[in-house]
Amino acid sequence: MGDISPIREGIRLSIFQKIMGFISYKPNQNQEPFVLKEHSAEDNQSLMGISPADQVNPPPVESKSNPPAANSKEHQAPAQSPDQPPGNKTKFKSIRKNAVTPKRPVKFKTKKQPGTQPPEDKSDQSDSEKPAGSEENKPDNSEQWGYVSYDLDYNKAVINDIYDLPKNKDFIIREFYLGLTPPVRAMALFMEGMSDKNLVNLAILQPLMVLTHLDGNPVKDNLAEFVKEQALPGHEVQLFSDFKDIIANVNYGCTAVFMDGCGQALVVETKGWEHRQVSKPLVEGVIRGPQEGFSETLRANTGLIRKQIRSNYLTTEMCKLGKINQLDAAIMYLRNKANPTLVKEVIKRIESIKSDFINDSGVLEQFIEDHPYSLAPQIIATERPDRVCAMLAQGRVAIIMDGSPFALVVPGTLFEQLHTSEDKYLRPAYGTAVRLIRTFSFYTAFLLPGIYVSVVLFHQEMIPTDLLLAISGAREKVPFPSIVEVLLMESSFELIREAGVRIPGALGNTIGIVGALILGQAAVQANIVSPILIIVVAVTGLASFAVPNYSLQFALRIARFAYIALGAMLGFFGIAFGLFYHIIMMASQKSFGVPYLTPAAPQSKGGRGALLRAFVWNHEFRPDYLQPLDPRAQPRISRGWVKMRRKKDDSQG
Amino acid sequence: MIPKGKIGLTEMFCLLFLSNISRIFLSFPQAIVEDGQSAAWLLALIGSLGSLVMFWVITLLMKKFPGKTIMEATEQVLGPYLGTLVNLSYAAYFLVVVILFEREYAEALLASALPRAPISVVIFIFFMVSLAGLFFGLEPLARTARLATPFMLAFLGLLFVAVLPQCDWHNEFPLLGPGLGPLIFKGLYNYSLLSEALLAAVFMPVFQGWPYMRKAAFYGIAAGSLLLVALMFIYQGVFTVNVASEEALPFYILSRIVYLGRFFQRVESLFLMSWSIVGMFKISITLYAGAIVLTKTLKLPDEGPLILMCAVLTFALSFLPPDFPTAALMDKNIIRTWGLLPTFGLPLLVYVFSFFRSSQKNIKLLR
Repeated sequence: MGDISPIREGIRLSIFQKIMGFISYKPNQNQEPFVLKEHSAEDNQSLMGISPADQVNPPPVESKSNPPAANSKEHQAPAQSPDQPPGNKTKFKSIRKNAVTPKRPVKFKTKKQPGTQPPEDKSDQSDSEKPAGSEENKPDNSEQWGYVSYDLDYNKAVINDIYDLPKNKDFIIREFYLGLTPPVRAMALFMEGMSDKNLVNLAILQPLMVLTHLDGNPVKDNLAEFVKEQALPGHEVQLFSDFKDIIANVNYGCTAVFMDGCGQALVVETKGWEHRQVSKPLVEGVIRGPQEGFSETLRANTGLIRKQIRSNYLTTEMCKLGKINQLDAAIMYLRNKANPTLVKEVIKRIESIKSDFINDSGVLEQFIEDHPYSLAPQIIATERPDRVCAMLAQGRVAIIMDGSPFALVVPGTLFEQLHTSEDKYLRPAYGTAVRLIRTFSFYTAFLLPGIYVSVVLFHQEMIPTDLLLAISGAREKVPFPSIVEVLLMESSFELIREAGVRIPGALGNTIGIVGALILGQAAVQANIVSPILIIVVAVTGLASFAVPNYSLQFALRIARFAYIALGAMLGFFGIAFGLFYHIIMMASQKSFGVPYLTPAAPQSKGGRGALLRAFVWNHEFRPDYLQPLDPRAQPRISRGWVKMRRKKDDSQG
Repeated sequence: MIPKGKIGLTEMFCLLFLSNISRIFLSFPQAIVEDGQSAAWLLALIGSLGSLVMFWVITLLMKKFPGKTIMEATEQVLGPYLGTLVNLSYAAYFLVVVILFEREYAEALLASALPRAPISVVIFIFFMVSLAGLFFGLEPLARTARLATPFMLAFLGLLFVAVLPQCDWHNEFPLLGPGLGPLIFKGLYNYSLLSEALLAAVFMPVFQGWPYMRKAAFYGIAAGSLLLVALMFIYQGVFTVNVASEEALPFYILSRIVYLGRFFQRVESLFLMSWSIVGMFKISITLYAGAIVLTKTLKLPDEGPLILMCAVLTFALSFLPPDFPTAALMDKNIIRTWGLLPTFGLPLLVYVFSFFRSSQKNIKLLR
């Protein structure tokens, strides 16, 4: 196997390239150019059977060629429609020649010949060495479409190609004339379902078609500037010349207006789609406190937060998530409170995500959490704007995703997940009582069945004699060992819970009651389980639902089975072993640099009220573990009237 | 390696405190009663005062070598050969403590709660526990200790209050028991031993400075000693000297006699959780310290493999004593007799030698 000579290698390569050339993509230079049709309203009608004539004369097959003039410097050159004069054909051909042919990503491996090293492919190199960032999340269809042409027909051809029109029925092109003298051809591009039709009619088409007649001012040199400044009443109008920007906005419900003879497009904010209104939180209900919950609309959600924090320091940074779905995510923080390192870390993590499809904050949470293998949730997911606001004021960072009614707040600690916003709205004694009950429920949710098994199997002596006799009597007819009994009932409980969630509406509740009756009453009567176990399972189930964080409930329920196994094997000693490792695992965790069990372990300042609810006037410092820019939340004497009264008493006395 | 970050004062205090109180759950109180008789609590107090003095020597040594561990200080003072030998003796001390504690705790568990469980299973659980340092390191251990301490204190407080009604204060007399002389001698010689001072000196870099180390270790030792004295006082009050000196597991027996009405009785299993968790802390932290000492002595980059090896070694060697009394006897004969050497004698030696070394250095510098 000697060395292959460079000549033979070259011949072999050229043959291979020729073969590949046959099977690779080539633009057809001889085929007809784009055939433009009227805007797709008619297509919609034809689809609905209103106009059968269109079915008889189906729209011409769209050109499969590349988008014209993509990346070309002479992008102003127009495409040609068949009804145009034949003199334009030469012009069109010149465009085709200048157009860059898209290449399929076929790579040939060639041996480097000594002395004739080809220049390195810089694009490939830059891809591999490119730092992770928002560039990675650019849209799936992120090829260059070039810039807006001065020719309206050319622009239309590009849009047809981009959106696969007229096959794609979601995008509507409305052609019209601007009421200027002389009239100017124009077209509006918007998306059905995402844009507000009334806005398009009244804020774009009506002013441009009708009201421009009333304007006696002469058109300035720049038509787009003139229309933007004097004709369009929309509150947010932007000028773009790159198709990439225009398409990104149209995909998000804006309307783009193209005008003949103008190298820019006007993008008017006309977002308006069907969405769920702000309603009561479904999971985190409270009695005392606001009854608003987040909805699926990002801007409505950010608005709910802004409504409560009316500060110019509240910053909202936006980024795109998912290569295909390109959903917006808002990163919100108070820039005079939150630690800049934390903010930077959040942005860095989110921007580094490379994924095709992220459609919920639950998915995003899994992408940015520190310990994916841990049972315990490390990020707080909440659907309550007031809770997010309170945590923002502490110096945390919130992440809100479009389409998700749950906001993520980082960093998350265990204690924070055991709190509800209502704790603070109640008076300290009540809040403390509620928190203590919740702490009890936290331990009960994962320890009680394990302790029951331990006591029954290993430590019977600690049960008072009467109770022991009662338990033994009840268990006498049960044929299973205790561990089987417990696992049976716990699994059944999980079954009821899961079925209750999946079965729709009113049936869900019914299933819950029926399931409980059947599995409880009937199982006892059939001597499959003992009555005391029903009580244990019921109390454990109730306790797990008293834990306010949905993810934490899952963690506790899963841990419960581990403790049952440990209790069955080694009694209390097994449970002690489980607790030892469980706590160490949680103590070793961090959420965005903050220890998971703080402010208890490690102990930190400003963590008042982690277990008990301190007086509101005692919360003088923000949590130290967040390292906020401004540690002090309120002065030492926050109740000014106490000071004033004291002074008054002193002066009188 | 020892974490580069600093661990808080409270966390280290809790860790040393839990490590210190682990001895009260085994046969240590019984030995005190045997020697101190009716003045057992006084013997414990004298021993505790002695251990504070010994701790003081170590703090003085560490003060001379700021930011360094006791291993580095020893090697700097005694040179590479003698220093290594002394460092190995520290490591050997820690490992022997782990071996005997694993066995004694396992035996105590079998005697109190798991009579039919094979001892290998229980010791295997302690083997798993001793690997905690390998998996998680010192910082999570200290944080867990911080979380566990309030619960342990609550359990102990509950026990002390629950047995108070059964205390007969006449059992505390004669106050001086066998006499002040024997009490002082035995207290200082047999009961002043503690490994927490050495532990603190091994983990020196994680403290925010020498004063923090002194504070955390001092409070840890003092609080643990106070608890021991209180336990001795109550234990002696509940049982007479004769009965008290015959019980192999005084804490277990004490928790067994709790009777607060018909419902709250025979709750020793509940306390079993607390003392087994304390034992777990003791074993994991002591083994971790032993591995750290060996790592530093042998100039290894990471202590991970050594933890595993030490854990396997201690696991295997803990099976050697044939039964619980032998293990308890070995504890008395080996640890409490020779333990003073690595925990007090050698550090004192290093401290004394450090003056000569520094004066020699000064002479060299002057020349």
